[in-house]
Amino acid sequence: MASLDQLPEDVLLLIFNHLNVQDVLCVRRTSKYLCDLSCSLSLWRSIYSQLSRLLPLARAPSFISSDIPDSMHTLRRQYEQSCINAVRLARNWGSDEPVPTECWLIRGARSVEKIQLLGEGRWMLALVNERQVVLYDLLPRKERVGGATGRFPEGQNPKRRAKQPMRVFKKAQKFSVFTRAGGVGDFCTFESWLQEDELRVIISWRGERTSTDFLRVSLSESGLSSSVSNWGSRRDFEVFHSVNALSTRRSLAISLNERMAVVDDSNGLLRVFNWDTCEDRVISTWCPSPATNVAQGWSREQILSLLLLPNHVLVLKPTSLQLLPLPDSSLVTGGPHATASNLPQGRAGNQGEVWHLPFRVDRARWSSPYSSHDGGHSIKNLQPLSLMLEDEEMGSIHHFRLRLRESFITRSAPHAGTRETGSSISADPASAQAPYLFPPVLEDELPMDLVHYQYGERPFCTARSGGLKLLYTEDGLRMWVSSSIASAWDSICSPESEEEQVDSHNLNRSFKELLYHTPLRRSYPSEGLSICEVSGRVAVGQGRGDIWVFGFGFSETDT
Amino acid sequence: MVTLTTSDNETFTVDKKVAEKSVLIKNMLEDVGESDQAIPLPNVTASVLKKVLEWCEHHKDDPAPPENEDKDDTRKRTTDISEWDQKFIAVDQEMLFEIILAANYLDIKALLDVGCKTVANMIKGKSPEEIRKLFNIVNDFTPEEEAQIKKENEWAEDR
Repeated sequence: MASLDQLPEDVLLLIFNHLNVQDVLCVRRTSKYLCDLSCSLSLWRSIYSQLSRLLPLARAPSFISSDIPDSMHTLRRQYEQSCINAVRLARNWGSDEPVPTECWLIRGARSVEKIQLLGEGRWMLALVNERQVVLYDLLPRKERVGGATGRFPEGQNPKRRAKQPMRVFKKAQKFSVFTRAGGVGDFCTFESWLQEDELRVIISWRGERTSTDFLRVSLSESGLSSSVSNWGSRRDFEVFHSVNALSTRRSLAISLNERMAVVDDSNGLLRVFNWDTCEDRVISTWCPSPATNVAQGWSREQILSLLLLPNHVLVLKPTSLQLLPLPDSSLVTGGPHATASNLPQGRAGNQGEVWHLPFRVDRARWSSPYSSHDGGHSIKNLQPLSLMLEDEEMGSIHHFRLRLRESFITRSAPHAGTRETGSSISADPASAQAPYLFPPVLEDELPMDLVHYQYGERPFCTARSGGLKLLYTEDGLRMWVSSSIASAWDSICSPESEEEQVDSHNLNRSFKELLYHTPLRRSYPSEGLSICEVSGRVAVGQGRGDIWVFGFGFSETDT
Repeated sequence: MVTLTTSDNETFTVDKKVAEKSVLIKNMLEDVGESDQAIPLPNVTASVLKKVLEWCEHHKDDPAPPENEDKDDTRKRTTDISEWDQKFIAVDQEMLFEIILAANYLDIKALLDVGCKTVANMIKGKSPEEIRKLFNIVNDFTPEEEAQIKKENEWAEDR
């Protein structure tokens, strides 16, 4: 009788090459010989490369030195695990009722002001009770499952499946905590920058006393390594710098990158802080009219939003967008009492480029100007910028694109790992130029509300319009009915012809990645829970002072 | 015309164009040059060669496959077997494996591909036990090993 395992190895591998991940794993269970064959590195490499066209995968494992025994085995295992995780995640998401594989519930806060997911859902930063910033470590750890006794509260238990056990953690691991000295700041927000093994946070507090805190915390050792022995270790935020201001105006525009931070210091002033030199300066955003030297009306409007770029800052006011060059080191230091009149304006009075908006803006969202690079991001990897401007009166959203200047496109991306301390950015000849071309180009106009998500470094907006949800990515607008993500997915992912599949491949993939990470169907109105951040395989929601963290997918530690 | 001799000493005379679908025979002919001598194929029986030559005859005018075909591309076109090939390959399992082995030996890539895809399609969606039954695979795991490997890969069975 013919038996499959009588075929030669190379032929069997050719056959396996036509199987999907699940089938290979079923074949593996039939006999020792086939099991060994299914552990071939070349097979999993091939599956990985095929799968990478369809699903978001973890980065391909890097080559391990051949000196290490079992290195091929380890490498194969990594490829295999990436494929398996992606397939399981896809299956979960693609199902009618995606089931979170993990859930954390963080209780006890009176209020939750802001939540941010960092590092593809590895970390969560939360601002709670108007006075505390907490960094949570979301890496699931096997050791903790045994001790977990939590349950889903009444009415919250999602449909469970026998083969997808739900793990509920009693509480998430607090990694770092920062509590504001001197009471609450009743209006506050933060921005953060995660770079390699360091997290930087600026928090802006407004209220009875206005201040801005510049924090940083190292995530190395216990942070990024998954070593269990470091489990439980915790380190506190280091207060790098702190600024008090007298103004109580409720402006919270802040922005930061690996080199600098910029904060709205009210009255049209910007406070620019250099992380490397700890220099703290104030510059003005006012534009004097050439004739009278008095600041022009439009430039005296309050700052709505800031976006820090290399050597420049984008300043959005209700009727203008300014691309303001940041000062070089020859600028005077400004104290809290500095006023616009006694300060130089930008670099040598250069107010940069100004674009007068065709309408009045109420709210705005930027996409990330930086593309992620090897897990971290760097100010050197600039990408075209999307700007979503919401006009409440007209009920419309305008999408503008800022194109990169030629010299910034052609520049090859250096390593994210190199951090040149102390040296000024202007040492780079290209950076003296504004990175983006003005004026922005109108891409689209959408009539609806706006919600903004960020997946990794890739931002996208979802907008609501009646029963429809619209997903807005940089590739364009997609529409789906909230109750049938799966069908929308199918229609987009099955193009008519083969040629089209090749052409639209990249587009499809990026869309799928985004869609994947959009659990919009999952809402818990009874708890007042709304999903507010999605990144990697983690979604967080909050309601009534509770923070919910849902993990979708399967990590290495699950198996 | 080219003459081929099988392991069971039957001879087949076929058009050179048909025989050259096999890279093995093509290379042999190039090496030997024009010759009336029969080419021995000690690894192929008459019944199998008959089937293989039937396939070669039908596909003799197909364009030659590109030399360095991308691995991914071959994967992408998985499961799609032409109607004629599907009918051709609808044979018992013994013959299917023989055809695959012959295609492998004779180096007929496209036929090997058809055979492998057919086997892959037979495996798809089946449980380990069903695969064992279908292909007469002997389960040589110890109960402990089997339990362990089941635990690790069980999710894949749930479709």
